[in-house]
Amino acid sequence: MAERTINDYLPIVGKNIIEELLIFGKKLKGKTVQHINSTSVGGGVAEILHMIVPLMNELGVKTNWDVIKAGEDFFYVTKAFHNALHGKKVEINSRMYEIFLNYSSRHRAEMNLYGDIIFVHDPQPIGLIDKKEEIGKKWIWRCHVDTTSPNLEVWNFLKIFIEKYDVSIFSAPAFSRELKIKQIMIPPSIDPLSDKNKELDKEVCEKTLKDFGVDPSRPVITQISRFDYLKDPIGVIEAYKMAKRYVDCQLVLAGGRAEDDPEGREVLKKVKDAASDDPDIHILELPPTSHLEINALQRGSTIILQKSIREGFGLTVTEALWKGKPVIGSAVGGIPLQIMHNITGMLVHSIEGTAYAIRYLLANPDFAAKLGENGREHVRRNFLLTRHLKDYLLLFLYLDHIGETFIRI
Amino acid sequence: MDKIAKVEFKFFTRLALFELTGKTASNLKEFLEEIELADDSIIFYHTHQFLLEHNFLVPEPPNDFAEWVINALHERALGERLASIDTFQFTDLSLLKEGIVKIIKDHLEERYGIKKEEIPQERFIPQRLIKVAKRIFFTRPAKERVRFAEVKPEEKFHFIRSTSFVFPTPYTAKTLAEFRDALSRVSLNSIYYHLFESRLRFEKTEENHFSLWFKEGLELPDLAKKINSLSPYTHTLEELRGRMIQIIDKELERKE
Repeated sequence: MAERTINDYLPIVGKNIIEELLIFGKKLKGKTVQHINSTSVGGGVAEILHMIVPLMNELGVKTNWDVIKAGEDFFYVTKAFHNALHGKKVEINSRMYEIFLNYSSRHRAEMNLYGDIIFVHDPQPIGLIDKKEEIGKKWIWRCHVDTTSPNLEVWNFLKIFIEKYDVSIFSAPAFSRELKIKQIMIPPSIDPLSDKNKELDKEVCEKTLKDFGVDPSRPVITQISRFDYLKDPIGVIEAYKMAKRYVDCQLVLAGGRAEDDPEGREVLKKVKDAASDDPDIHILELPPTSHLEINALQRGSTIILQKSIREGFGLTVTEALWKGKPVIGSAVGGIPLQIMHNITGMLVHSIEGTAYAIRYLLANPDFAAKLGENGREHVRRNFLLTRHLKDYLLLFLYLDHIGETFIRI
Repeated sequence: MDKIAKVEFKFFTRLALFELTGKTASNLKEFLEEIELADDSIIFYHTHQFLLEHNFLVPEPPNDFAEWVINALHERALGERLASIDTFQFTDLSLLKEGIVKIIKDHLEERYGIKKEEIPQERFIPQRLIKVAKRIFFTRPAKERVRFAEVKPEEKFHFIRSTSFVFPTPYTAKTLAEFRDALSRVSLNSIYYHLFESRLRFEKTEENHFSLWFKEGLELPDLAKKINSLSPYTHTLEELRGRMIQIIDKELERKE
């Protein structure tokens, strides 16, 4: 990934935003921020840290990133914790807690905790906090997981650690729970310069659609997400079929390949059965590196759907809104933060509602264009990487003013 | 010649962090209870901060409270009343809160027959006991009990607190021409701070910073009045900037 500089974002967000970031950066000069997570490659956390760390350094805040080391047994346990926090049914036994605690104690002994601000991501390194009493410093815990309805046993186990931090961060209001420490809302963000989001020529988008057998001259409805029941791809097909009785359209369902995922394979088979022999339904299994293709598919679409039954923050919605597309999304997880009904998109609660929204948007292109325009502006102001940087800088300053609601810098 | 003010105008700007309070409401009763307990920074978030964040949208959404009442609770009449509150007319957030509470209580009386005076009043009961008092009130014997519609768990209202950070920008002005130039460059956050947030949250005065400086620094009371009468709820902030620049340009032309 090419390293970008803060000025690369200037044409997108404007001079004032960059100026404000530089002012805050100066205020934090001399502080060292140490990010700690469990992996340097793969996954959303590593992706965002790869972008944020160099930009923070450029803004004058000395920022480093360290990764805890552990064996497979530890990651097996933390994967189970992760699923439990998501609300999935998992068996957690006392041996698993023991493994977690043993590794946490090893991490405390081995990890050099040199930052003035120690910024811990997700549950894996959470146990490092027990060093706080000995070494002091300011400690932040950021939860990247959707904790709308967690397994309470695991949540209560982790809560003992969480409440020792100075502040915690959650991505959306629905993910917060009552805690003794302050909880700050910092939604995730997208990088407008990444392959997934950068501007593309119309010809490139049309060619991509054609390459996948989709006709760019007719309306295209697209949902980009893995083949998972929680993303309701079958519901999407039903909604498309209902809408198609009244309006001409094609449907694209694009997601990752499901070879290693038995549930994914099963969903994919059902999706193919539901599509039967409709030549206007295109089911695309894409490799994980298909960022440009996904970008082109989104940009080439007329309407984008995210008809999830459950959702984390829903960054695919952010990406679609950023491309100025009218988006129809379920009112779950972080989607309502992004879609205000009939203003920045359309919120739906049922298959019938989705079908109606598709028909309505195809019949009212001016309204659809207005939603797209509003949606893009909403993302520009609230969900781009620069806003993420700003929130982190403010949070670092807040650490010296916890509990105050008006802070003069 | 353009008058030089004794004290230069320093442009500040403001940014905010949002604190999740963990407090939620699933029905109208809980909504009212939490609003009554909310501090100024929570009321500010759901009314003004919300508008600031969505000010560019057309059509502009109403405040966050009205949005939830309409779209999640489906109490349209109440939603319309909450949406119609002219938040701009309030120079004190506690008065705005009282206005919101009154609208909800009026609605409870009209729609559910719950008389305002029957609801335990915060002013008569210590804060630590008010929740308990209300819980007892709202769970009266079955024949008197009112069933409030509950929203789905994912549609709960989440109470959020706004923490503002105010800091200086490099922009300053000693004359009206310099002010105009700086005004065209500062961020919308800066304009919002000087026009609205400062007087609402801290100074609780009728006049905004720009008007005060025009009146006292430049001795231009008419200009001060014109700027003070601008409302953020009928223009986007970018439009407001343009409108102020127009007014100032006229003043500059007049003086030439």
